[in-house]
Amino acid sequence: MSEPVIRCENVIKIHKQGALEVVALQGVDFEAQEGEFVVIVGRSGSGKSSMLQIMGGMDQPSAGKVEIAGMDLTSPFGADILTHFRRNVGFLWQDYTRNLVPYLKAIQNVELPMLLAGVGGARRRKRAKALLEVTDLRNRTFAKVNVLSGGEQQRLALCVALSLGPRLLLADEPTGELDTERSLQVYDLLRRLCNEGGLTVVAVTHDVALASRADRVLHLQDGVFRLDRRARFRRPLDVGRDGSITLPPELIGEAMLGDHVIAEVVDEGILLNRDAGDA
Amino acid sequence: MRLITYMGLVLRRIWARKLMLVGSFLGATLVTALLVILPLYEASVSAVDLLFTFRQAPDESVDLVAVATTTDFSESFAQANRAAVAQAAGPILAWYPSTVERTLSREFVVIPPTNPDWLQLATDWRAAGGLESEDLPPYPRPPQEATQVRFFTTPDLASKIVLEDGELIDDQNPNTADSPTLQVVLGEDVARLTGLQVGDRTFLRGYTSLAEEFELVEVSGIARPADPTAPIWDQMNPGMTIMLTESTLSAWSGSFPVSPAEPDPWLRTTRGFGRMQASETFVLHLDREAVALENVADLARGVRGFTSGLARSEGIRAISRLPAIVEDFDVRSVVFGAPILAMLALIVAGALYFLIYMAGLALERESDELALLRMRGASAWQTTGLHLLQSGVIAIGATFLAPVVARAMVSLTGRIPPMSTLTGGEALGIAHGRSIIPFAVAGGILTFISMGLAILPVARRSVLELRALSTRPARRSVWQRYHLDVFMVVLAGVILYELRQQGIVHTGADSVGLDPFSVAAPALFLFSGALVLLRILPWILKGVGWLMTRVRGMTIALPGWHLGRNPIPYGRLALLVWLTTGFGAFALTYAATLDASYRDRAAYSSGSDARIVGDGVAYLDVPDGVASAQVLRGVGAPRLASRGSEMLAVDPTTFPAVLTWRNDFGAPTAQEAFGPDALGLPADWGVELPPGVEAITVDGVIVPAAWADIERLGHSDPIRLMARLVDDRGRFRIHTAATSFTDEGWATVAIPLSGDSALNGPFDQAGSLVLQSLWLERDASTGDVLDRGEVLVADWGAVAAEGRVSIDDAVSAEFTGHASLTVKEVDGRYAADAYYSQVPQGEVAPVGTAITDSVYYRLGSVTSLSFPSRNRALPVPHLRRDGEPLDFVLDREAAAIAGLGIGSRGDFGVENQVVEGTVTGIVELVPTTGDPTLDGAMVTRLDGLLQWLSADPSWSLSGTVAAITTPQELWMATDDPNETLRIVLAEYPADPDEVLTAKGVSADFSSRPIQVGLVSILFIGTGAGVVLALAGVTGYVLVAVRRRYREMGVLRALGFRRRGVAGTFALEQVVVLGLGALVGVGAGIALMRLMLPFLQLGEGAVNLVPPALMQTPVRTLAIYLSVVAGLLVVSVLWSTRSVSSRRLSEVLREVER
Repeated sequence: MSEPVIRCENVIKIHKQGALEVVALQGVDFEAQEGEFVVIVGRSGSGKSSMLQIMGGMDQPSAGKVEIAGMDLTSPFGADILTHFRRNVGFLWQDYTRNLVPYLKAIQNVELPMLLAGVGGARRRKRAKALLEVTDLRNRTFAKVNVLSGGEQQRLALCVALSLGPRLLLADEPTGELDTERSLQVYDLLRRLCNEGGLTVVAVTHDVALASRADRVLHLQDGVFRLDRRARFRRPLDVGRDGSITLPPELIGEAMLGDHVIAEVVDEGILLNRDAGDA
Repeated sequence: MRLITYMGLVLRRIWARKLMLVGSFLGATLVTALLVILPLYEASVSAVDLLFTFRQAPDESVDLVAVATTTDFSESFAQANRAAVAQAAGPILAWYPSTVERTLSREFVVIPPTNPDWLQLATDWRAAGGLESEDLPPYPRPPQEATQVRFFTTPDLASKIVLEDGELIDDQNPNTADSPTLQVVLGEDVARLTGLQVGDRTFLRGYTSLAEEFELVEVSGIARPADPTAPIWDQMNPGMTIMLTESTLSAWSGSFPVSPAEPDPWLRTTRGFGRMQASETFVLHLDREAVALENVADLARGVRGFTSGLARSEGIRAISRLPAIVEDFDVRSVVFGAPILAMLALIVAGALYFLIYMAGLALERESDELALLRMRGASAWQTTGLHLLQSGVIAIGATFLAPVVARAMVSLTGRIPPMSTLTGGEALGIAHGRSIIPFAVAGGILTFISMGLAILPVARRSVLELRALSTRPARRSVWQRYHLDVFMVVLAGVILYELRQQGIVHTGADSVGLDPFSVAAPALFLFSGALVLLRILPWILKGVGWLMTRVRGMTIALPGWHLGRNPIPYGRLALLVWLTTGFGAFALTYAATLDASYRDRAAYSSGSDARIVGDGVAYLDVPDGVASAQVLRGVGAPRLASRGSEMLAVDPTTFPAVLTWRNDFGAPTAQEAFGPDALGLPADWGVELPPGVEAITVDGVIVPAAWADIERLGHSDPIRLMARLVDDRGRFRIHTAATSFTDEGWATVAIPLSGDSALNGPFDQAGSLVLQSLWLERDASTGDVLDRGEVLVADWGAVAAEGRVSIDDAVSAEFTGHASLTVKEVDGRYAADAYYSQVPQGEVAPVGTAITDSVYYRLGSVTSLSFPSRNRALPVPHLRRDGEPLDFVLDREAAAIAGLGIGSRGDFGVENQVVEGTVTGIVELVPTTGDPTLDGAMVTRLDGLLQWLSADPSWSLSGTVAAITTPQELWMATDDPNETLRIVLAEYPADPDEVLTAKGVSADFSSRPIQVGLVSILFIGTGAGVVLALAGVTGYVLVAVRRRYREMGVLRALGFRRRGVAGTFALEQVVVLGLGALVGVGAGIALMRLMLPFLQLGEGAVNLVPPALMQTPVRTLAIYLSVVAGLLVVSVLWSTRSVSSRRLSEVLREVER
């Protein structure tokens, strides 16, 4: 197994607001592999943004260790953070004004990170065009930001985030301001990038549809990840020769199964439901 | 290539932020323009001042005059001088293109031969054996009354004159004729006064004691100037000259032998004007239009070269006041340039702060974008570089635009008051004293640095900090964190101390320089004061906020709460307003103080609303309602010190009412300083005569010589009684008796006192008269020695319409004899006894009733007035009252030098007389005094002083009427000086020596271009300050509104109405602005107090007299504050309109974010 793109160990983040200290993250452990699409869900104040900011290199953890693509972000900020921004990470925010420079044209926005990173003009232009092609924005290449639709702006923001070829894309409610159809376009694009480009995506969202497309959904609650039940109880079970399957007791307890279950064949397999008669 | 891409990015950023950056661009342009204005304005104003100076200066001050004086005038002498002047004037031909040359001799007396016939007199004298007799003078004396003329010549004389009659004869050489007669052309006035016509002969006699120096000349022509206004006739009367061509004058100015064929009637061996003194004068007239700021130094140098060049030539010297004028101008430029530069420094400092402020605001607005760039991989250097490039583009633009703006602004000042009064509403001419390019570049660099500085605290911030920048309050400034504000305040204090110690202007041996600190000091003080404000403002705002929260209404309580909680962010806003209103208040206070100083100086200089100086003006009538006072000005010496003081003699009852007084002159009021309490009560002149008195009568007789002597030698010369009186206006009137005392018996002598009969009159009829003195004179001239005499008098009386009143007792009681006049009582038979003391042979001395019947006898006692023989230099024997000791008020300087204090008694020297006096007061200053050649001033009572000064009559029947000491000034208090002067001077026959009005002098002061320029720049600065404040406040509120969208959303969501939210927000800003403005006004006034030393320097870099007093124009400041506050409130309301116009849904959406 290759080295994980994200490795967080016992990450703690405490925000100080005057004399008040708020613990945003309380020992988070988290890893993500290359090409993995991870969604973090949680209520407001659960620490999602803090997590994202720490992984993005915009903030430092109060304690613990954070490694992104092999770069240790725990050390005090230095020149490395610039490298982190340029090589490792791309950002996609809900508010497009935080993604795009409004007075630049679409292609100029895409080229901007490359320009800042010192990429030559021809390479810049070629890469930008390719990205616009991939995001189906080729015909909007020289459009100004303010004439693009919400979905187009978000796809353009994705192009910008990917222009330097980062290994990790951090997205904060990337579809928050989009309608369903446009949201789906963005989801599919992200999924495709993970699958085909080996991009690791960590997205913070409330959107169930986006969560359903993730490889993993992490619930952040009171500063710690709580694994979802699906993942917690996902384990191989032996099927007896008689076709019987022995369910572990904690699974029966968690699902509150009674003496009988009702089996139902679905596309993905067999779904066991509680028998109403047992109640 | 990458740089071009960056530049493209920068330009796009600029374009995208154009509205915000327009403010920065305008600020940058303004700062740079102001820096360019610095030399441009100073040079332009100085140029106008220079022009003004040279236009105002009289010709004799700016023209060059070279004079060669000789007693041996000749053509070669004239030509040599001409060549020397031409050579010396070579380098200054650009300014002095033309030279006027003329030669004038010393005076000659024109003695027409028929009045008397001097030729005949000479012949008679010789016939009478004058040559042999030692008793006769060498030659008959010429008459004293004669017309004085001078010989005049100039190259090409014929073209300069027009002959009214006759001809101008050239090349008259006395050596080529046997008995030559000089043919002369008379000026018109000479011809008119002497009645000489062409062909007449007259004597010209040198105005010397050399009796043999004269010539009989013949009038060949009478001429007048071709162009009387031509420079060649300047300061002379061509009508009183005798005109000769240069060659003729050259030939006749030498001596030549008398022709043996025709001996001289006066037995001279040589003729001609051999030792004639003549002055050849060259006047180089300045072309004033050629004088410009850039060449004035060369001109002064050239003139110095001219004078020093001629100094090397023998017998010729050059006179010019021009270098002194230029030096005065330079001093004035420095002295008055100082405040101009200080004002500009203040404006520049304020504008720089505005720039930094706007750059900070712009960065706050850009912080999200900066955060985005950082996330996209921009390094700190790259974000800094972008900002600096942006600043650079603005600065470069400003550098190019600023000179244009500066020129426009400078020329515009000529079109607006007060400068327009000097330029006639025309644009001010742009003068380049020095290159403006360095200033433009310096301005560009300064603005670039100012704008660029704003990025420094932002550049290294993290993405999250950058994002927070636009939504969270600012922290304490760098100044406070490192206590740099305290350091600045201390530094300002040290500089102030140093300036106070050393002065702001250094006067060197050959130049006057300005301490650069003095220019920077005001800006430094304002800046350090601003830093102090920044430190204390949060506490003030907390206090104000707390007070506001006491109010029940939420619209007031809420802003109060906000102010109290987060006062720090308001610092910059308050500071901006503070600086601008501070400058405005300072400018208005400065202008008011300057104006008041002009008025005070003018009032000090004129003494009252109007003052006239001239002989007799003190007695002019003034219109009803106008207070007036007579003043005598002279020189005195307290305690007979060798150092003189200016002296004013005034009437204490009228003088305080007309005097312009300031309570810092040494007394609370003029009445207390110079009223009767200080200077004493009116003097007792002598014998008061009854109203309507028409004559004084007295019986008298000259004590005769013995009868026998009279028989042998005849009667003695009669003696005239004369009287001097003072009328109710203080005028001296001299009357003489209609008949004289004789030694032929007692007779009544009357002195008529009508105004017409006064010898120094006529006078109008006086209300009352006081007899001041009586004196006796011999009727006829008895040569240089006046014989002794004795007169008996009795029964003095004053005759009025109602009858005769005896003043015998009063005369006896009041008057005593002076100037060797002996007064004694004798028996009435005294004269008779003298007469009969020796009878002629054959006569018998009478006895008994024969004596009492004599014309020399008088019953009872009579008064004997006797005087010894005397010469003309001695005072006339007279009767009068003794002068009373005087009270003197001294100024501090005079008192200190003489070592006198209040109550000191002693002798004072006044106009060469010793006067007893007491010091009754000491003041700091006495208006109208300040003669640098004298030490201090002293004031005394006019009538009392006149009693001393006019004590001894000096009039003599055998001489001319001597001038009587009289007040020569009339001071008036009037609301309309010009009209009053018109009425008063209408009855004055001549031109007064001087006419001053406080308003006129004040106008002269304040109309000096460099002073007007100073006021102009103050107003420009104030205007610029208000504009900057408006722009800054608008920008700030716009940013603040954006920063607090969420808060406003919450308020809306809580049920606040749109206007309520906007009102809450606006109130917050208004409170801060109001505080800033109020503090600013106070600071401006305080700054003015610090700047007061600038005003204390006069044009000559010496302290003003009287010193300028700080004036706080409360009304103007209130109006200014109201206008600025009104504009700022409008600006705040306009900026917060977005709050009230936004829908609730939009606002709530903002809250969700």
